[in-house]
Amino acid sequence: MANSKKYWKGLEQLNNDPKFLASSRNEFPEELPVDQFLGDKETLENSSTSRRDFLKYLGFGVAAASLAACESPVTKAIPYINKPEEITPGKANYYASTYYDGNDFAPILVKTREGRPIHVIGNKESKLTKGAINSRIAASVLSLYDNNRLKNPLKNGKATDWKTVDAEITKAIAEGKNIKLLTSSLFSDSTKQAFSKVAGEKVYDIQGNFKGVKIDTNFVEYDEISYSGMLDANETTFNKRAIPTYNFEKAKTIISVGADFMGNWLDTTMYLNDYAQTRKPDNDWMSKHFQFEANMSLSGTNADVRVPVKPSEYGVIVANIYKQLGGSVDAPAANANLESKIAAAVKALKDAKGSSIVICGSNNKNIQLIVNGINQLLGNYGNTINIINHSNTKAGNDTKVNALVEEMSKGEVDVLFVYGVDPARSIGDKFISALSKVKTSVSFATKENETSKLCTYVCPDNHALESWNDYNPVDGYFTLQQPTISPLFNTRQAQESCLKWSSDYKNISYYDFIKETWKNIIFPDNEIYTLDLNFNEHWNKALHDGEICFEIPHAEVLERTTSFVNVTGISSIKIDGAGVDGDFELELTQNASVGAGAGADNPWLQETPDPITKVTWDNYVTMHPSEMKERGYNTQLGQESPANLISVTVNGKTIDSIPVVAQPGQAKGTIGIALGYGKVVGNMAEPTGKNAYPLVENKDGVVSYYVGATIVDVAGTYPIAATQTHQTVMGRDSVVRETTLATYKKGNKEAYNPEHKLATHENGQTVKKNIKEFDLWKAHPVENIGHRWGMSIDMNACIGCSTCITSCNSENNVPVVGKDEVRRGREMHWMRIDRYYSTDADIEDKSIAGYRKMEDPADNPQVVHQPMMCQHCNHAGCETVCPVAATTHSNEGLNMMAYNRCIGTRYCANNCAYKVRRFNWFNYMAYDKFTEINPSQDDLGRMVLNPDVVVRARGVMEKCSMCVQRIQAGKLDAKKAGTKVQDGAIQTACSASCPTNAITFGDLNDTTSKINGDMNHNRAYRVIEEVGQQPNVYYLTKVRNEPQENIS
Amino acid sequence: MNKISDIKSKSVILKLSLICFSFLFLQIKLTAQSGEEIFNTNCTACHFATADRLVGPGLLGVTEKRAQEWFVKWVKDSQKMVAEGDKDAVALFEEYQIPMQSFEGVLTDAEIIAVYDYLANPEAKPTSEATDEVAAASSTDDALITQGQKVFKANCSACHSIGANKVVGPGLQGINDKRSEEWLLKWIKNSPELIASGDADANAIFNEYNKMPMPPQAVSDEEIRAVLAYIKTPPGQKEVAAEKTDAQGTDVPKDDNSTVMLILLVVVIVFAAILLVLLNKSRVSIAKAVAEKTGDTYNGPITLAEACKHLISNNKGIVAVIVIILFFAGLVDLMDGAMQIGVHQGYKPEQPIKFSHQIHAGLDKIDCNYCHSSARHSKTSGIPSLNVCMNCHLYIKGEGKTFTYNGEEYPMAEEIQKIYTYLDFDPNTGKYGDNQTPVKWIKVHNLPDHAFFSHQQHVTVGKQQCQTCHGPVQEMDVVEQFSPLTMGWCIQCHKETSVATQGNGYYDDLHSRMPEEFKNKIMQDGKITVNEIGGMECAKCHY
Repeated sequence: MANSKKYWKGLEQLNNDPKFLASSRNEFPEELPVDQFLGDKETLENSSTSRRDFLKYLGFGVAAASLAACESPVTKAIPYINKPEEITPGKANYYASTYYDGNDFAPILVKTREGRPIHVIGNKESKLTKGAINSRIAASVLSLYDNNRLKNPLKNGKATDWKTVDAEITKAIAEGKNIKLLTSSLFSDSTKQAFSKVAGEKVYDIQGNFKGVKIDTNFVEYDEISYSGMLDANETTFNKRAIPTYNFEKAKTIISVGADFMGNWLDTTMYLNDYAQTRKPDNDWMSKHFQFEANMSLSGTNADVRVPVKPSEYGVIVANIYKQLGGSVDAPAANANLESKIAAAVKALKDAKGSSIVICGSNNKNIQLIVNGINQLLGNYGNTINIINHSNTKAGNDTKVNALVEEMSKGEVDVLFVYGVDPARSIGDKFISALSKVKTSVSFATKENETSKLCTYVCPDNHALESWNDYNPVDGYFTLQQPTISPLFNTRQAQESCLKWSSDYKNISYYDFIKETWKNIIFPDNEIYTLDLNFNEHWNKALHDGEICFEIPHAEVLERTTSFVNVTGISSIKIDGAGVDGDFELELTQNASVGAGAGADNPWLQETPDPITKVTWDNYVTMHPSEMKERGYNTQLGQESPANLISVTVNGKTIDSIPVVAQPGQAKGTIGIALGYGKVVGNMAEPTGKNAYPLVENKDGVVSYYVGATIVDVAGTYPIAATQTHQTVMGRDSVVRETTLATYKKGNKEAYNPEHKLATHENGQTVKKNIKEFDLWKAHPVENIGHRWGMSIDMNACIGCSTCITSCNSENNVPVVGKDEVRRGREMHWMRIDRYYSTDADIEDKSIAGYRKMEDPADNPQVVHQPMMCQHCNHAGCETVCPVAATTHSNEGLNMMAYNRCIGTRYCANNCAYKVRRFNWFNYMAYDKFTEINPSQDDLGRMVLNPDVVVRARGVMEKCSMCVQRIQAGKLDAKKAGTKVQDGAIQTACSASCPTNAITFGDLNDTTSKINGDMNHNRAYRVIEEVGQQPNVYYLTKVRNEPQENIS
Repeated sequence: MNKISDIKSKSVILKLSLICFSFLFLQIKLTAQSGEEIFNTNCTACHFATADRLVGPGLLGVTEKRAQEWFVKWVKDSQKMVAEGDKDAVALFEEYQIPMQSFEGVLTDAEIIAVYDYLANPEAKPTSEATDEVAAASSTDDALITQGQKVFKANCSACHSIGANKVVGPGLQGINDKRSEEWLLKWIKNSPELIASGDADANAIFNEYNKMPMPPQAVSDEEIRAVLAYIKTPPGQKEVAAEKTDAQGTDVPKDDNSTVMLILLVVVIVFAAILLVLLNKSRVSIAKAVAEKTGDTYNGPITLAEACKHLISNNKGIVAVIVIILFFAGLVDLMDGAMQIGVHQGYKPEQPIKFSHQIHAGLDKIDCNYCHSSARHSKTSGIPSLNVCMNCHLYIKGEGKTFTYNGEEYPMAEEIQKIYTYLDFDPNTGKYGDNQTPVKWIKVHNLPDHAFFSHQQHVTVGKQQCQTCHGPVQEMDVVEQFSPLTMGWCIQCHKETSVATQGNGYYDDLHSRMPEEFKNKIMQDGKITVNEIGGMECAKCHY
């Protein structure tokens, strides 16, 4: 065994709950749904259909079916009238573009087939994100084909035409004196220019002649997840209201206080890849990551040291760190346990001066000022934190928003444009009543939302994949967004609408307008014309690459940054360490797949399990298990043990009947709820989850996500749809391997990644032999013959973000099954990310502290994320038990699945050691149970299907194919070029979308390939290798950079 | 709905068209022609002998630019040259993007050289032989018209029609009345000169046609007069009718052998039945007579049916054997039938445009990949979009011509007009309208969705001929499904076909890593079949 840790997937497993033990022995926890096919017993008995009749019908049915099969339908083939030059039917085209929805930003690559976008991945060539995306961006392609999108402009809720809307709005603009635009953070120069044509402040000279418009004075930027406090603090410190860019690649020590920078804090896509680079134990150094937080966040699960604290303690921690680093601040004393952790963090910071990052998720200006002070003391500005090339993605100003709402409620706003945000939902009643006083309100929503319902006009915007735009996410760096499909409905891009309503730009398309902006503003500003190229060449290159980067020399940045920073007045800050009113401190958070709400109406995202709780289709209250037990709540998940319901009240606002879920590692005295839920998905009658935005507090003009909550029990229970407790590993101990950096650096492989030995009897003696020498099966030559496709997963790089799951769904036409089916353990995902909690519970620590830890291992468990998909065993258990040889082995190492042969005995799933096979229970494409949630049931939703992968029928087993369609295509490209398959040329959907490059795919037989190196790596092991199935998927042992001394 | 035509009648048409084709072929072979004539009959549809571009480049000076050897190779199979990477060929192809049709088998080397020699000096007097022919022909009116037609087709038809419709230049109907012969002679021989001289009519035409000059024609006055005579009185309907009777004359008798045999069979059966009845009658009367003689009464079977019954009851063993044999034969037949479910070999639906592959791929020898271009680089071979049709049919309108389709004669212009209708194209003005509709072709080869088949894999990598799976398409006027397209058929081929590994770095790399013993195992039979490198594995086609 690699270590003596105990791993557990859910509390049921940890506590050896008898019910759990019983159900874990069942591969399929549910009875067969016979009733659904045949009706219940009563109807069956009352039915007049005799057995004889049944046989008659059956016979007739068979005959009719076979007769019908003889007459094959006529298939039409309709070619283009005029084939576009760049489209070849059957071949995919890729376009570099950009995704931005008001919250997430990433340069992307869009795959289109016959003019239909079908798959989105990150742009790996991007200098900013290096190809990182999150699951929301990967799933955005589905929302393009959402049948609930607005299809026509609306006036007072009724469909109308653009001519009417244009005429009336133009009139309203001409008559309106106070025109305001409420928008998500705008960091697009062209958009700003276009909007200023209608909402810009008109400037007159002394004589009263119109002089032009001032850009953006009438724009109110509003982030639904506010960073206003941080921006205010930065304005004080840097004299610039901006978020700096963090260079995690150079950060040797990372201290995060409540900031989930891997999940939802600021520009996660810009950090992920860089962060992962510092987590490689084979490099010269490995970063140390401390996380102080209340909710268990994605960043917390990846931290080397995670300390559960209450949100009210964030300020205390930050102040103490500042003080211990030599700063002068009035810091309240932290409790003893916290004190030692802070000391460890400070030590790590001192060891890495100038190459550390301290961040805090608080939206409190004072706390952020201290954080700036810390970073300045450590000399991080100019090294790991860059304020010159600052980020522009968050610019919302809560004070301005409040002022606007005030102005609106006084009836002073004549025309209000709402773009990219849904304030009626996120601000709530205050905004709704204010909006009713606005004479003319115009929403640019793509889908009906709470704000658009109340607006006079709705001028539906195009989807991002139908739009032209430019973005300037970081100073000196620009990206372009280009349409990959013509608008599907009668919609028009918001910017184009604004141009239409202006007086001078009526006849200019937004595309030409962007080009003009680049020609006249962006290129000259960045002195690009010094290079000897003309505009078109620059433009075309930027469009092809999707981005253009004007870099500023580093030395200059350092020099300019240090002179920039001015941290004064910290000593006068008073940090209030006292808790908040109420039973619990509530930290409002965001789920990795739904985010601030962008993914809430996307079935793919709703079905992607939360990386930590593994709950789908709902938001819920997370609470520490021991506190739940005190209150008598059920701490288990699943259909058979439904969750208790509570109502949560904050400042008189209540969300009613929300389930409680046990979250090991949740700080005691705190609870967490995810924002963004409460939207209607697909055609469902009821919204999914609860909208938690009303609980957000507005403190001193700034939004706060840390509030005091009172909870009350509500009668009834609610079965949560969670995936985690299904498919356990049956207590086998070679699933997860983990070690510390110190052990790893000692270089003794036996200590952290021992080989499997089996005792055998030879010549009267017991001999221990390597597992490789035993084999049940006849040798199947795999080495050096042809290809041998394999995968390696670096558990140090995997952060559990679940982007791969969404990407896999999109690539492989994995059906959405809905809440009810997930409860029964019938999710169809081809890959999952197993989340294991571990404790040092059975470590050989005989001290009192060691025993105490054993008392409650759920207090602060460590977490491991392990992506699990078909392991493509060379000696696969599934293949030998298939009675019809539907699953067989290819000579390239793939475990193949021929759906047309499969008769659905499910023997293979029972014999699979990894529980990665999925049985296709229903005709998801037609059965009315799935009409509400399965996007493939309408013609529009079907357009997202990948034509290279078959849509599986009911009654077959399916599983990860290692994207065999991509392997075949890649091989074909190599054959056509007459060269070997280049390493990295073939990527599976998961490996291509992984933001941290944790997944490597390649040819194990190619000795020059990266995967070949990984296979022979000291950290490489195979899951449950001792059963001898010889998987082709290798995992690299997780190495934690735990502090040398025991700090707990 | 679609009619799936009888396979037999198809084969007859096939044979027929083969015969017709070989006749054509023979004729071309037999008549020795001068370079000019060969040029006129084969090249003028796309090329001028001057420097002006038509579909392809003008050929003036081609002999200085290209070597004779290169020229011959190019004309015979330009695509091959492009594929081989000949620099000039590639450059030319890239410039024009339209491959030149292959003349392999149409023209001999000697004939191409004759064209080459002609092009070296196109202004030279025609050979004495040809002059004689012209002189002889012009002796009578009819001959004059015939000659005019010939000259017209060779020189003028690329741009002009004899009707009123516009092609590139104006339609020439009534030109004799509009212009004097003298003016026409000047115009045709050198129109730019006439325009430059300030002639009002000339300038009017020049301006009307967007200042596109008519290229000066290298024709004699005699020939122009012949053309004018032809335009005045075109041979017209009479000739078309004559051609039709001609075509019927060469047709083989309609009733084929099988019908004759069928009639014969019926006659034999009827005869045998009558014989049987008669024999039975005589048997009964003989038996009765014998019985009378011996004094017995005959109580055996009287009618034929009774006789049969009697026979069966006396030979139960044989009957049982026959029944068993029939039963199993029926079972085998049923199984065979069941195996054919979903197999549409010979499926031959009627298409919205009567497009004949026999003419395009067979007679014109257009490379399959010219229209089905994505076969080389995509999963699907692609049905050509209408702009591909228009590459040629902008010029080729098939007026007055007919073609055979599914055994029946159809006017060519009508089918070509369908393209124009779909495209909302006006051949007179040369302009496209807005009301364009796509052609809804009927898919002949339907693979089920769960079977992945890639054309590029087979065509580009496997170097397979289209005909391997699609059959002799160049001989089919109506395309039909030639192969069964069953999984067994696929696998059979994968078992037998050796992989085109020659010179492909991909395979070289794979082989270089392979251990010797494995290599030897595979190479036992001297070849690597698709099967041996995993071509029969499920996930190669099903995913």
